Amino acid sequence: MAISEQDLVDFASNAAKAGALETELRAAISRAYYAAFHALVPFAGKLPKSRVCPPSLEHVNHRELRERLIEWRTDAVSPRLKSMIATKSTLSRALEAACNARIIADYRIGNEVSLAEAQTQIARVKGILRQVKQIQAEIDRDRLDDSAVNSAEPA
Amino acid sequence: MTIQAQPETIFQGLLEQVFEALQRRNPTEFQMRLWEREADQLLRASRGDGLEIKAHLAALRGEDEECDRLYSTALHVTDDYADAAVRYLALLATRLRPEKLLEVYRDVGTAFKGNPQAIRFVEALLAGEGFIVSAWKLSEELSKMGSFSAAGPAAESEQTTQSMRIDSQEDTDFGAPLAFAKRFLASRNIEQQGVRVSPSVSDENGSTVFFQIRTDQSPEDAAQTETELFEALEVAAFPLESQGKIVLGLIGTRAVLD
Repeated sequence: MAISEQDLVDFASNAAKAGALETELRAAISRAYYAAFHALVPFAGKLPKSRVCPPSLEHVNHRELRERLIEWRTDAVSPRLKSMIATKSTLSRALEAACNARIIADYRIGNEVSLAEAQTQIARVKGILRQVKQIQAEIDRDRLDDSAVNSAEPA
Repeated sequence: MTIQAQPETIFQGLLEQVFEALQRRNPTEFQMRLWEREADQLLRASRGDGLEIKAHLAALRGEDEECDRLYSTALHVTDDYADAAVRYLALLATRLRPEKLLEVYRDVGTAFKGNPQAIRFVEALLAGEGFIVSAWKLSEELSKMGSFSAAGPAAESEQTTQSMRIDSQEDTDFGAPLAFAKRFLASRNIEQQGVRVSPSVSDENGSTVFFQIRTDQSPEDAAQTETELFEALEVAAFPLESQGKIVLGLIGTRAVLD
């Protein structure tokens, strides 16, 4: 059965409760990051390859996703996104913060991970998902405008 | 290591009070006068200690130049130079004066040689200001002494510093975005509760140094503030931060418990 990024965020939110074990908090941080990752990959797929992208890369990985967002020219995908410069700057930084929090959660088992950290990560990722929805809504609106123009054109 | 030199002394008690006031609250004018009087009394018994307290009081009044003048004199007359120097650095960190902190550290740094406790404290202090080039050098010094580092897994730090060619960077290249973030938070009266520094190097994410500032906020509020901080960082355009080699984030420490 397929799952969505929202399922991952819900899992993280349920795990990051008072009294949770540290393993659960780490899992919450990690799953929340992957919710952001999967939400952004379809959009990143519309962006040109980054300057550091290896020629052999077939799928957008963590680093390539980050680089594409940093290099994203906001008018490249849709003219409606041109004004989203603030979204671009916050989105790429929030993703980097979420990714680095995930690295600590997954690899630094000697570092303590707190409930506050897990909940902040989830709040951060919810913000990313909201921004992705805004971007998608703009792209959809652009598509609707295009189809309206096409259908209005005389045969 | 604590910022106190000798336990159970008038100096220690006074220092605790004025340092806490620097971190958390604005004391009343009446309280300030009481502390001034006690500092004058202490000055007669131990000049270095009295001057240190007076320097803290000057910092509390926002008189940074006077604070520096008093601490400079205190360092000349104290018989506890290394600890006094550590306390000065801690005061500068609390006052959000990272440039001065680095300048003072470069003057007093040799005083900590062979003192692992002081080195560890200063290493953490420098790392918490983003001065990871100097912090890394102290970490190496600790390692040579067979002592552990305070700023995180040394091997990882070393890998990161090598891969980021830290030797070709300046402390301020790393410290500037962090100082910017701290000032951004202070301008909004958001209490800061320390910085966690996590250097990392990985195939999937490259080399980064991740600074997480703990703030006295709910996680939701911290995430919102973080977004606003990111917008401000875009405008400020610090090279290492813009390239994703330095990553900033907040942790809202008022976790939701229900």
